[in-house]
Amino acid sequence: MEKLKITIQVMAPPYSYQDLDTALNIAEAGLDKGHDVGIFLFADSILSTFSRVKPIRMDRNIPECMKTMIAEKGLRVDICGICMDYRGVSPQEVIKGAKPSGLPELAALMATSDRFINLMA
Amino acid sequence: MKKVLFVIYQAPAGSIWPNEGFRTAFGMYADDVEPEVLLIDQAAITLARETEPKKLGLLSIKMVQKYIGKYDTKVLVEKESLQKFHVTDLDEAYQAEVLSRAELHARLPQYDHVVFM
Repeated sequence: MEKLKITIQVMAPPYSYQDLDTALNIAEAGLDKGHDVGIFLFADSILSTFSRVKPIRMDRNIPECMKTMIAEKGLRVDICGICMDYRGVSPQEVIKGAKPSGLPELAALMATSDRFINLMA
Repeated sequence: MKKVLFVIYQAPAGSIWPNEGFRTAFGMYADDVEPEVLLIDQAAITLARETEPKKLGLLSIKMVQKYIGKYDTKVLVEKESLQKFHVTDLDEAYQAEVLSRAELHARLPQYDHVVFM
């Protein structure tokens, strides 16, 4: 099977919408099949990398899920740096492995990805 | 070179997306990507001469015009959306091309990616 480079761009905030959950599910399916998968977080979706997110016990912890997928499955996560600044999130506050990034990196991902999925609530 | 169409559908005041859509499109010039911007539904109001969120203390939308001119970014707007919101006086600084829904349908296959913002 041909290995594809897949990028998923998310715009919607976690816990208000479920686009992040959809992105992680698609990403996991792609990684399990051996594809190279990355998520680009834009606007309020960047809050999904905030390490101090604390949902109620029975709910999923999206930053933790993402962190695990980065560490164990090789998921790439890029975060729009200007979006972080706008929301007062510093690089020290995001989960390990998620990378502050920007529009030039998004342009490069669009130019080089075999599949580009855009999730907008 | 990949062609990417950024489709903006939310209002220029009350949402950040017309600004963010244009900003993202301009960011594509950093790589081998040719962006175009399409305004549909409420986002078509962006192109009205009198539309300027800055009047409400919000981020200016007119500031994107400078970069449209600088990069010669193609801006498209759906005719039916303009009619729906009674937008008749278009600000020519956006250099927008008005296309019907049918014309847009015919145009879509030329893009490698269509990104809704």
